Amino acid sequence: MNSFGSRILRLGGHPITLTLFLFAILPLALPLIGGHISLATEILIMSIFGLAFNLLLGYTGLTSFGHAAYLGLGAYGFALCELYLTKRVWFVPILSGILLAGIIAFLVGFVISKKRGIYYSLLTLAIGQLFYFIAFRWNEVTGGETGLTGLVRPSFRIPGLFLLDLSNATLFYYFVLLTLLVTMAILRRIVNSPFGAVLQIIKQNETRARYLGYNTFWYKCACFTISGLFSGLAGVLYAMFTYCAFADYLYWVNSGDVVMMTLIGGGLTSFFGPLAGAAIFIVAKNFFSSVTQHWQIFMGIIFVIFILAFPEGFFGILRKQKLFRPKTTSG
Amino acid sequence: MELIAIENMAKSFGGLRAVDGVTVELKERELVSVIGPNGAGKTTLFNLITGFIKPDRGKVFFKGEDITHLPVQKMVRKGIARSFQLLNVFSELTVFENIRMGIQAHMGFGFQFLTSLDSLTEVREKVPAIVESVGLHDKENVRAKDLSYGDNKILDVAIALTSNPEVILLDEPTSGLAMRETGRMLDLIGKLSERLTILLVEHDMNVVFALSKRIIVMDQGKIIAEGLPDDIRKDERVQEAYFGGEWSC
Repeated sequence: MNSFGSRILRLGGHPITLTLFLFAILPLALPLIGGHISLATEILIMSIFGLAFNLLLGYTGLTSFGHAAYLGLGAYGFALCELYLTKRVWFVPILSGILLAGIIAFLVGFVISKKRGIYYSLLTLAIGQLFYFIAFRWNEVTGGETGLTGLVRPSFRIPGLFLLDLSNATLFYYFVLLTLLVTMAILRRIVNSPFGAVLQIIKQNETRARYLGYNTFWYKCACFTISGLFSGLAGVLYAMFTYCAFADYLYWVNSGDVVMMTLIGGGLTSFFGPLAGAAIFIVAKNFFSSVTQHWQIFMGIIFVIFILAFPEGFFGILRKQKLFRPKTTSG
Repeated sequence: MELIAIENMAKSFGGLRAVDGVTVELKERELVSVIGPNGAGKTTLFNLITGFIKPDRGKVFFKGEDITHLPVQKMVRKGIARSFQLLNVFSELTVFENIRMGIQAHMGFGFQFLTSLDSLTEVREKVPAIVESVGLHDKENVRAKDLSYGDNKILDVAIALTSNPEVILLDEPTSGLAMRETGRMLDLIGKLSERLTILLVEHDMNVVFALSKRIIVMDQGKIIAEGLPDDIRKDERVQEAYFGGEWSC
């Protein structure tokens, strides 16, 4: 076999390609085992959220306990735009959600990035809850307890061909999958860039990074902003997914969930960790909650087991079994 | 003309006067050592000079400019660099990558989001020169955490060189090193002293007397003696502070 052919074969056998292939055929395979595609869609959306979150935690070493706020802001930005501005120009609500989350993330990042360690994390928690309460109370704008409902998913008219209506669950799944792939491509580029390298040395040794001449404040601020933008994107997709925006999306428990997901998946040492984490977490949650009303206990047990026995998470296990070799230090 | 001048620097932590009215001046390409017992305030002095902590009083002048309140990263860009007493390298990165990060900062390439790190050839091509100048070329692709302690101390100094400094503060560069490695560090510092101004904190008296043009002795935050190596060797106050009696070397 010539070298081009063998390269294709190697690429085909690569775990990433396999995973992509699996994700691509999932909507076809799921109904055969009695599953519903919405579970897979949710996994993809939370993967985007987890990747955004991991830019902060896994790459820069900053722990945010209030990150659901930015997902929620994305959802509300999308919803408010659809309800008060336009539903028809498809990218405007999407952009609104992303930008609302990103701008707020920049402002928050600016305020907190001078803080260290536990003070940083507690501030993120407090600020996250602040936004939750605003969403919960500001009835005139956010709909308060009832939230904002009656949203629509965009539809794309391909000129001369057909109409792609994303209210079809399968089409929406592929739309989200495409968005996930684009997100992964961009974030991968960022972590392998000069900027991404600085984030990684900030995680290892912020003092020395400063002594090299880097103003680490702006790097941390920029990182928080980028993370906010992609969290907002996840929120936009979630609002499309559920057709509504609720204050609950910003609740601190959801912030805790993304921390758990990222650690279980192995985000601390692997770029792809959040994807595995989202899959494991959502499947487990779905399973246990259908079996017992005490599902949270089981989720907690799983989390503790991972932290104690597999601190590098799912991808850490793969790496130890030599099933997965990351190219760079952080996978 | 002094290249760098520290005037009446003072810093207290609670009730402890860590640095108490210290004045030091260095001319170009002078190598001045600061010696003193542990807790004399030497590392705190370095932290104050480089802007890592803010002084209660006092000023730092560099080429006549008041740089006292500049933050660390601005200080570095002015031309002042520092190595560390406790290892302060990027342990997950290789020697090459450690040096590269410094050069990247120096050349201002930090805030590029969407280019590939490896594509920055103008940064990559400057790395070998520094790696070779400190003698780590055969370990270029070894991760810092897999290097020996001695190699790491050399790397610590090498990283400081990436900002192309005029003044370098070396904080106990030979601490923890065996005899042969100390010789290696001695050679390196000697080479650097030909083109850089060096402020050196050391406990190894052989190194201090071999290299220094001038020696400053600190105790309890104050300078208790300053002068040529031979004068310091004979100074009774120094002997008292350091050894409670006589030199043993």
